[in-house]
Amino acid sequence: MNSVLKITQLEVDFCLNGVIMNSPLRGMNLEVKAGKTLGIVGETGCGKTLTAMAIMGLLPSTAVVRGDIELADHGRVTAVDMARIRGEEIVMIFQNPQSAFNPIFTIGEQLKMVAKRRNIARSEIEKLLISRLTSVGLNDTKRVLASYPHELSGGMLQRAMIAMSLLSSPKLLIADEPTTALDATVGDQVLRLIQELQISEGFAMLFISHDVSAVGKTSDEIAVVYAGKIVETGPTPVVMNNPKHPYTQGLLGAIPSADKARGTLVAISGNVPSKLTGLVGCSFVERCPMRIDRCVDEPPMVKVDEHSVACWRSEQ
Amino acid sequence: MKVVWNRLSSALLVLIAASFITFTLARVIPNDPSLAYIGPKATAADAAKLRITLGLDQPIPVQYIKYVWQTLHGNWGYSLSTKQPVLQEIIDRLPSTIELIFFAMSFAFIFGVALGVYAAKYRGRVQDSVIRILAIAGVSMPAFWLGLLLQLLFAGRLAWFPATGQFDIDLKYEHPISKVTGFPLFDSIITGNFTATLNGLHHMVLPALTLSAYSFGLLSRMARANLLEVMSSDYIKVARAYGLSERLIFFKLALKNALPPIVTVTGLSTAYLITGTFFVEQVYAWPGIGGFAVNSLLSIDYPAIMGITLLAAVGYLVINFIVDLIQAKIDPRMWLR
Amino acid sequence: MSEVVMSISNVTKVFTTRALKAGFKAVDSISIDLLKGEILGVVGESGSGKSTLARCAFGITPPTSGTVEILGQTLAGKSRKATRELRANLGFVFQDPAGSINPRMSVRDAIAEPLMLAGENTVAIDKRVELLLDRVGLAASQLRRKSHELSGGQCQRVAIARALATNPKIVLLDEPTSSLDLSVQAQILNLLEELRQGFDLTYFIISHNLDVVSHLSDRVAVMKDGKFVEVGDTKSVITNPTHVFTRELISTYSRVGLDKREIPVGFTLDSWQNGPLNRWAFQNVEKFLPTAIIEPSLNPPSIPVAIDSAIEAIEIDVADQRFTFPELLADLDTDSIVIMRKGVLVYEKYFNEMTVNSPHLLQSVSKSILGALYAIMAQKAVIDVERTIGSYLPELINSAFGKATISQALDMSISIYFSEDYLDPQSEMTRLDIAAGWRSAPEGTDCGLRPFLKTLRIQDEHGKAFQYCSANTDVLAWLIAEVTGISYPELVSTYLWNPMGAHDRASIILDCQGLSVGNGGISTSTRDLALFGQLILNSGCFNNNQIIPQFWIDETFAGASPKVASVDYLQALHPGGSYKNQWWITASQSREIYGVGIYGQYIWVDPTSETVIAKFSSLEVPVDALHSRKHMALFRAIGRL
Repeated sequence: MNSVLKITQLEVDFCLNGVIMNSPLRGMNLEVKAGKTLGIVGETGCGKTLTAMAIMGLLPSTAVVRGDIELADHGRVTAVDMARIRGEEIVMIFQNPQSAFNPIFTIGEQLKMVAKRRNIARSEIEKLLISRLTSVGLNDTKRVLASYPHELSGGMLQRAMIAMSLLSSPKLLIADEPTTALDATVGDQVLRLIQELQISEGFAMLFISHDVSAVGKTSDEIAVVYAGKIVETGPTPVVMNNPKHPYTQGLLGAIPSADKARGTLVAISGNVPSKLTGLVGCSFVERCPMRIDRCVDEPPMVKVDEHSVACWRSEQ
Repeated sequence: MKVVWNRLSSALLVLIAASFITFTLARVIPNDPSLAYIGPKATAADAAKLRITLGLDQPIPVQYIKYVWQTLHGNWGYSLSTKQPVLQEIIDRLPSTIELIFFAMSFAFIFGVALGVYAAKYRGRVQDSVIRILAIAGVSMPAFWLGLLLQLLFAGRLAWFPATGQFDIDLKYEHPISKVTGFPLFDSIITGNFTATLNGLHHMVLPALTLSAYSFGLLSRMARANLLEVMSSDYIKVARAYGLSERLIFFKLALKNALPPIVTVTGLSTAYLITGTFFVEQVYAWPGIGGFAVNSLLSIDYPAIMGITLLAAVGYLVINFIVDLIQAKIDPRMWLR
Repeated sequence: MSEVVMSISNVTKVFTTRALKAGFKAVDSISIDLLKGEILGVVGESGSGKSTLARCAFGITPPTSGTVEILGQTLAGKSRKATRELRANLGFVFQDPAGSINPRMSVRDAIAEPLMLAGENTVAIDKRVELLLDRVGLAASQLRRKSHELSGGQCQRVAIARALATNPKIVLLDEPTSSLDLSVQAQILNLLEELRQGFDLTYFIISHNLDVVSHLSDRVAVMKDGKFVEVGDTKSVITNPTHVFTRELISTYSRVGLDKREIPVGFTLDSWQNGPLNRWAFQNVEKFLPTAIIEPSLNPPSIPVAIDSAIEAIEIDVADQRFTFPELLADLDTDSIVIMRKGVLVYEKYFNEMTVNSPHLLQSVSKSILGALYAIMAQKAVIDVERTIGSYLPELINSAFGKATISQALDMSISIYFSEDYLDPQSEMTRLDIAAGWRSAPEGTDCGLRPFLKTLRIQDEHGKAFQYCSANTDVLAWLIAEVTGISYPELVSTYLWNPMGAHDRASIILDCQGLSVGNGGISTSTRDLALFGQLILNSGCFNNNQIIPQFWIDETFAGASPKVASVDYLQALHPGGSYKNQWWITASQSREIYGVGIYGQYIWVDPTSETVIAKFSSLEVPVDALHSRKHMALFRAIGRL
């Protein structure tokens, strides 16, 4: 299985006047396989979105990025290379469709600007836009193209954003919480649409979400992120059915349902560490119900059955 | 269209309110205007007679309605000091002031926005700091003082520009400007009197620069701040993510998004310039409405004061209306408000 | 019987706006009692009125009509002091924890504020704050902090402590965990249960999060358009909802995108039609291709059933082999089979997760449905089948279809450069699949049937020879929708599925431009397909209603004109057989006609024994002569019984 994206030891520090303010990413490793979906789950502030931004080369200049980002057909790439590649082979859709479109240009104008990058004849652009909009279920193409963002609903805008992402034939789609800002029903439709298109277009997907159940259903592989690092990764059914890391176990146990008795949800105590700079040992140790003496050292990622876990107790 | 009507009707309300307030104020100030009209040697009987003639014995609302009626019919009263019709006085002087404001504003807008954009592009570098200092200087320096400073430096010491006046005095005899619209520079262009045009422009530089300083400072700061805010918005991030070039993002997308607040400030500061001209025209002996206004104020020439106030209010409203139209043209969401 | 702590009776709240003169009824005469110690959950989509109901119940906004009794007393018409005392029994926790605490207030002041308003002395207040702080799991060291120094979970703990300050009996929880992370949400949910027991509280919880409500509440009320559509014990409402809206709410909630676990390994857009992947794919096309719904009958009459056990016992001799009935069904990779005799359902069997109601892709059996639709439109004189296709669709004037008549397309006697080879990656059929979105498109290929159909070129004279070409049917599906101005799925629903009494929702696959794939995109339940066959058998008549014109059915049974040259494979299978009006004519003694789709889909109509058979399969390969012969033998054995 060939991969479209491989990230090794990705670290991001934010520096101000030479002083490291925070290190939200502390060595991310992940791999997205061609045509497959890798789901990244984790709670607020664990570095999910930042990983996406680092891949796209869209971090602000105060960020210091270390580690390797490798793309199929390109090898190791830098932020400078990404300026050329992004929007073409790697595209991204964002959480809030209302703010992702420029408020003072029509949807048509904005899609055209992106389409024009591809050296397509003027007459072809119109055709491309119409066929893309219909393929995302926006059949009233004339109206959509002439509309300003505030004239369309969130669901329609997210569809238009998906259409924009597919103007080129991307190899990788990064979807950063694509349904969080939408109503449940609309979100479900949008996610299905992306998945249908994934089957027909064959792109790989990096699906970033805080919703464990959604990722658990819709991804092929899953990576659980905690405090700027992956703590467990593997084929989704394996991780979901047999989580090894105490954090993954905690997350799955925390999902409320009618079957679980009231007051007995697994509630990981405490909070995500707010300052990650200079963190030593296992980042989860403070909240871990199963900690042992060895946890003062950072646990390496080890392969257990079909998945990889960063926990000293995983071998037991 | 509904929005346009709403704006127009609210503008009318503002106009009525403004005129009523100035009218009332002029009536309640302790200085009896009728005395100023007939002079200090008049008897009490003369004064009483005059009060009846001028209608000053009637209740203020009645006086106000009469005043509005007259105003609408072009009768703005007679200036107490020059004894000329106020409207005529204004019409004679207004074009010169408008020309001055036009040049000052154009200068402030072009250089303010350009330097603001430049500063945003080089945020945190030397260029940014230099522009910031210029902007702060422009905003904080009083116009009359800046005017004197420029006069001393460029007219006095360096003698690059004339110190006062709208044209050289002998121009009136050698290349007289024939009156078409009443706007001297404009008339000189359309009548082909380019000697006069050049001369006028030469005279325009220092007063326009002085007048524009405040707006220039404000606009450059606004442009910089807005552009930076827009550049950090989600949709710019998206534009980058889709590989649009930085040039396109900066000059087409971001600039257009940053424009609406800049336009608003341009409108507001133009209105501010109307009062700013009072001082600048004094300093540069500009034959505009400013000098007339200052004199009227000093002599409590209430028909003139009211006329000028009304004019300023109208000017302010017209500018705001234009600003609103431009805003709506740029930002489609304006129509929703 | 427990004590009633809050009684809501006939509460209605109407919002009047300038736009809506009549006013908008956010809450429409709702009555419900809250029992002491219980947790009532109200769920519904945004705009269902659940927040407004809660605001009315807790005296935040007065209801337009109706009354709310708290501990037996109403809020309305009381003195200020009495109102305040009654209000002390109510607590509130809202969604945004940080926003509901004054940012300038310390934790201590935030919790103490309601007590101060109630006029308590400082010593008592401090004691109470200390107690509450401990109970909500915050350290005393956090007393002096302000909201911005706290995490979201801590803020919500403060908000809960504040809600409990006046020792209320009933607490409103308005989306209490919506802005929290999963692990923090679990902490808060556990805490709420602990506090309920400790302080003897009654909760009124509103949330769009079905998981949270079903976990926390004893009773749940489902709200829609200002009304309760279902109220009941949480477990039974969630596991066995009675109201259709509740069912929909639960199914959309639990449905997040397409469940990958369902999709078989190796599934791609290029492999789904082949066995064994097609077993899942044919039953689930709407999960990976765009589809439009074909609505069934609003009030379908029930189908008479009289199971004939003799069918299962028959034995079939075919290809030098003897099969029992079940053996042959297994051999033919059957997904489902429904047999009707003389209008009575005499046998049905489902395999591979198929059920009575589940849809299955018809493949080219879809064509036979289109044929019937044309008959209806021809009789209504909406379409003249003798006119050329080009005269209706000028876009196709230069293509193979330009000068061909509609009836030539229906009978497949258009001469066209078109290879119907399903396995050749270069064939026109493969390109048609790509255009329809059934296969992945190579870089630079236009999507959509319309542009593809325009490219097809004429080969020889039309009307001379039979040439099976799926593109013909796609042109016809496009044409009929264009001429009638009604979408193809709507036509099928209005003129066939609804009048013939179809029971289940059917669907049709759309191409990337939203055009129906008429050649093979319809999915129906097995029973509904059998009903369609029964309609043909009944000469188009159902319930004394002539749905399909009889002359057309007679014409179809009569077969194509002998002047149209046939092809070898057809003559080998059915000597003298032909193709007419999108049906295969066997020309055998029993005069059967049928529709067939690749990978073994059949509708079989035998007028002699008055038998109709609908059969779905997921064969390994699209077309195979042996499979066809086995099917014929099976159907005829059933007919002979």
